[in-house]
Amino acid sequence: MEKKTLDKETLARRLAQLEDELQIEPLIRDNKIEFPHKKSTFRVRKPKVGESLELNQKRAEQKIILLKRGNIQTKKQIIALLEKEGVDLGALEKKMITLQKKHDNLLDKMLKIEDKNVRAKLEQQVLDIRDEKNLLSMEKNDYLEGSLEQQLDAFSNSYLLFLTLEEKIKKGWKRVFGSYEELKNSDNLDLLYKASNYSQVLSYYGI
Amino acid sequence: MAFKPNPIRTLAKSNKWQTIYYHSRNSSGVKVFENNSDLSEIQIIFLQWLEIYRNLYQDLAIGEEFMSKEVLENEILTDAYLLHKQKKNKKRKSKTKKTRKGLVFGT
Repeated sequence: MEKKTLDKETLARRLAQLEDELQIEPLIRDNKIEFPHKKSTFRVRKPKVGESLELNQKRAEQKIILLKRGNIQTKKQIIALLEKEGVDLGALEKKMITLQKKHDNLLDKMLKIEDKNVRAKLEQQVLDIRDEKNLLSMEKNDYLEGSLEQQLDAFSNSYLLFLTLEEKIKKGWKRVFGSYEELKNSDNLDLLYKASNYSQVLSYYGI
Repeated sequence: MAFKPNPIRTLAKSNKWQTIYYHSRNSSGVKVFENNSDLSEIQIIFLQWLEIYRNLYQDLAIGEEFMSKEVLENEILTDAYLLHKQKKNKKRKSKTKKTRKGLVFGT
């Protein structure tokens, strides 16, 4: 499967959110996240082998559909277009690299300082840099919004939900949606948003 | 934004999970996960943190430079320590490489 990208900060935020609402321990233990919603209990889980294969196939089909439809740009094409408009994403990346170097230098300094107040100040600077980097990363993602890759990721996430979002019924579990079309037409956005966040934590790739 | 520790690291550092990890390494039948194969990415990341914290506890036990309970308790200080260790290992490796080269070429 193509690797999804989710930056470290986004993952940490999602994990923190997950921890606020339920325990992360069961998730680590068996790759399933159970959560209450309204009066029912739902779960998302890691897809089985057959489901992963189905997901890959559907993603490939969706790619062809989007390309045939035309009027869609890949990330590379969007970057080239932005360059013509005077937006230099390369400069943004360089800024992120510079920030990372500054961050590492501060960490290096911090360890050798014994004064707790000075340490605390440096710690705050480290956190500020992390926030700044996070903002730059979001800015970069905003520029690339609507790209072929992002649309495919969005499709994969929702298809994965169709495959792995289940509701507890008596002692067993049953898929919430009978078909992907049913999920697409659902107006239960609260449930879908919640489930989507958990599902992405579960299927996160590449730290 | 207020700093929130990474929950995976908090778990991996805990006494409970370090004990489970220790026994699972010694083939005592204790399992870290319910599944033995087909690990998810998050489980792999968790295993990496279990190993990192195992090493950090060892460093604490042998009194490595800059390592202390305070460092272990503070995630940012832990990051600083890990970076320091990484640099130290890199230096040591390049020194060993030079020494080996010297032994071969007599420089």
